[in-house]
Amino acid sequence: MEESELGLRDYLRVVLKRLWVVVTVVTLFFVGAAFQTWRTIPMYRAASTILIERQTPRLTTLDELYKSTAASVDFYSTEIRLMQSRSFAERVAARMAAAGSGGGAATAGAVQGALRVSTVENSRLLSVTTEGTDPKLITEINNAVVDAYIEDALARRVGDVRALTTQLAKEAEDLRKKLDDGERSLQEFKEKNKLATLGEQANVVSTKLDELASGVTAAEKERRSLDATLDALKQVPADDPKILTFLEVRENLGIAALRTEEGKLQQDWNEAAKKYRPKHPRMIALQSRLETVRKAMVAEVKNVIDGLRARYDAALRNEEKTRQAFEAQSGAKLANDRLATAYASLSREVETTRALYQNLVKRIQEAAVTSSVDANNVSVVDRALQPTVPFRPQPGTNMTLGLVLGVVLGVGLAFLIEHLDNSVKTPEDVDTALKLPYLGHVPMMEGKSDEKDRDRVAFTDVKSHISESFRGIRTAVLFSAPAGETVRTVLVVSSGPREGKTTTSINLAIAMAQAGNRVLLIDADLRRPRIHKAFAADDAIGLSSLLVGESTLEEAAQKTDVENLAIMPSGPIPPNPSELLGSQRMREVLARARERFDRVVIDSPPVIAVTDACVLAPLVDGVVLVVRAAHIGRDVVGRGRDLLRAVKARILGVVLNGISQRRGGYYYGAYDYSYYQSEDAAGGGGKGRSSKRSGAAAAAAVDKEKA
Amino acid sequence: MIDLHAHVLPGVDDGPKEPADALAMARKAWADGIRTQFATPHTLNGAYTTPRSLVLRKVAELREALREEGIGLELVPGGEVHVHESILDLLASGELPTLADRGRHLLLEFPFERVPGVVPDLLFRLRLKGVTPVIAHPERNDELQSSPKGVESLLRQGAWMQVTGGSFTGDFGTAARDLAFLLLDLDQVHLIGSDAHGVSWRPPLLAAVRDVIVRRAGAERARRLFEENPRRILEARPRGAGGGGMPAAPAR
Repeated sequence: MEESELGLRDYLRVVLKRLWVVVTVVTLFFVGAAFQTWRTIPMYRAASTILIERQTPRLTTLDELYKSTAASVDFYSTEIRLMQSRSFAERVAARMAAAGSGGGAATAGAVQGALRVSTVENSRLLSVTTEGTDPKLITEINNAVVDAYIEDALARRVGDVRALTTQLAKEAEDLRKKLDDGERSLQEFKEKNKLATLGEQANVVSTKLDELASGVTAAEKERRSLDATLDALKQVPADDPKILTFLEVRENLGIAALRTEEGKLQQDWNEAAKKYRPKHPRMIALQSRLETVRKAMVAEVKNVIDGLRARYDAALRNEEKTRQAFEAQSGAKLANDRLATAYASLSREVETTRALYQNLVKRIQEAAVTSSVDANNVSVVDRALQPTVPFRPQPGTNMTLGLVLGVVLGVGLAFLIEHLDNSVKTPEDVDTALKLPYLGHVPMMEGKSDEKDRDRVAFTDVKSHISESFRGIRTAVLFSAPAGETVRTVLVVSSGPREGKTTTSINLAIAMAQAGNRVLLIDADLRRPRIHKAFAADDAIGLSSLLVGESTLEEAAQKTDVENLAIMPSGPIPPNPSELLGSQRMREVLARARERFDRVVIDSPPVIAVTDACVLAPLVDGVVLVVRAAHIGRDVVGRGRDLLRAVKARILGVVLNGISQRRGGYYYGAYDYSYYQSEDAAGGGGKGRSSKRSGAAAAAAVDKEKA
Repeated sequence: MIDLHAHVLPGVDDGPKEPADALAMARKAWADGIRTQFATPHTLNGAYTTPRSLVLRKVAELREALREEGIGLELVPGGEVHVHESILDLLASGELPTLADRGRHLLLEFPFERVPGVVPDLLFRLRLKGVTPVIAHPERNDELQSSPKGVESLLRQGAWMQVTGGSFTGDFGTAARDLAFLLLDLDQVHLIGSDAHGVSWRPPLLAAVRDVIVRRAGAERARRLFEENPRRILEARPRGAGGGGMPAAPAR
């Protein structure tokens, strides 16, 4: 709850702070809207509505019927295009000229330009609107358009039907001719092929063919039977008694008589043999008669066979004849069938043509009826009324829109500026945003590419602006302690890396040494030490080796080419810098350094990244927070400040680093430059802290006393 | 050329077995243009322990043999010391072989797969004792290959980097070659060693490598890597011999 209130208050603060942005933007938009409204020529709009009953096209040409494609052109868009066409506009203009309306202003171009036609969603309505500066004219145009359209639609529809009927009549004539031709050729065919009794003849042919077919079968059967008997008889010799098994032989009357006689003779012979000897004449006579009878029997059998053979030949001839007759009859039937098929085909064609013709005739009659009934399917729903109020411009809407847009964009711009302007870059920012004292700034170092020179500028270029600003910072630092206390040990920190704290600590130490104090500069950045590089010193011995007891303070603190200044390099980088810096030994080192030196300046790693600075902060008299101007967000600097406050560090103030000449020009010209100019002249000024000027003077005085 | 890293002492580690092999290696090195060679046998790596006294004796023997054979190669005592918990104790008692036996530079070997967690502490303690750690073939270390940034923290702690010559010619794979060239391009290499182990297998040759480095980084850099920096080690004043000692920074 409290947080959201705070948030709201924050927003309000931003808006109030950037009120001029908001006001300017709102005014700009409001005036813009007013100007736009004033500039706009009033436009009027007349509207009418037309109902179009869409007619499903019942009248179709034969081609369309055959294709059976439902040609679904978008009917309404076609109508709209028609109304927007140039020729239609010309007709409307002509109509109006004829009626004397429009006062001559209603040209085809004016009609086309003013006219808007659109469909009304999900309906069969067309909305016809006309827009223009003259309300009377556009109303007249609107009504003329509607009238012309209705007239056109009617004419178009009547014309359609007439054209269609003509077309259909022509097609009917063609069909009529085709039907006549078909019937004629059917008749000719009939006559040519004597098909008067086509069906009867077909029956006769068919019956005869059936009879012949059975005749062929019977003849073939007899022939085969005789052939089989003859074949069997051939296998048996004529005098073999087995020959009697054949019916043809046994039932032969001649043979039967001979057999009877033979039997009688055999009996006589058998009786005589009982009485007589074989050589007896009676025996011989009987034997001779018996043999004669037997011979006769053989001869008779042969006769029988000959008779059979003759019958076989006759049967064979009969079969052939019958077969020839059958085949002849078959051919006749085929020819007859073919004729029947051709005839059926011809008559079917004639039937089809006739049906089409009749259908067409019916359609022509229908068309004639339709044309007189359904032609008018367009009607007016609303006619246009003359508008009294222009539809454009709408001053109320325009002004409201301008105002709302102005407020939204104005506030948005204010927040954008506020957001972009989040970095700390002026002493005011230090005061208002960070609520920390301001110690001074360091101008951006331009044209000094040599890192060593830049790091020790207070020594290498004593008369420069930059050196002056470091002397100012020195003064401010020394006077930032409460009255009665002196700042002997100073820790230089920054929130993030690359803000310039090492440069600041080196030059602050040099500036202090130049004031005559014995100064020790300690590199407590045991992670990325740099001070030994600036002084080209060996870092093999330094703070770390001192803290682990490998060397003494005397070994670790090395003299430099700057008078009164000794440095203590980092020493070898330990694996656990925070632990070393937080050790009891560190307190002892600082205590001993206080004894031997007037001032101790300590450089440390960034406060947010690692805890080292927070470990050291409570051990020193004061902490200087270095902020690179326009580089880092207030929230980040604020976080660093809060971390230091959390360990009860006394933050002496902020040094703004890297203020460019251009950006910092304001401070230079108007204020700071004269401030530094005055330093030398202000030799024995007062000791009060009422202003920076007197503070600086007092510091100089103190330095002189010490020296 | 000065070869900072070579296993040439016979019968002490996985270098040559017999003195004859050692002489053959020396001839080959001489023919290649190597004039001074550090004898750096393995020690504390789990397989070999080569105390300083043994190194000095073996170097003296091999020097004598070289003189008899008329080979001009100058042999310098040294040792490749694997990361080990007794390094500081051995250093204190004078039993650890250091480069040029001056007690100022220690050729330190890591396991090939990683950088042990004790390394930052070990480097710190060595530096406290005035000893500059020289990291042997960092380019062949798996961990440094996958995160070359690790080299930077070693450098910040004051360590020197000794790259194996063969890494530039791809003898140890593409990863080692890539890291070797990356370090060279970043000017993060200080010394080159052949890491020779024999006459034919891993021979003491550096001339080809020097050509590669001259092409890539220029003759001045090659001179620094093969002459100037090794000479700083050779000429380092023993600790406690008065004065602040040698500046630990290598030539840039």
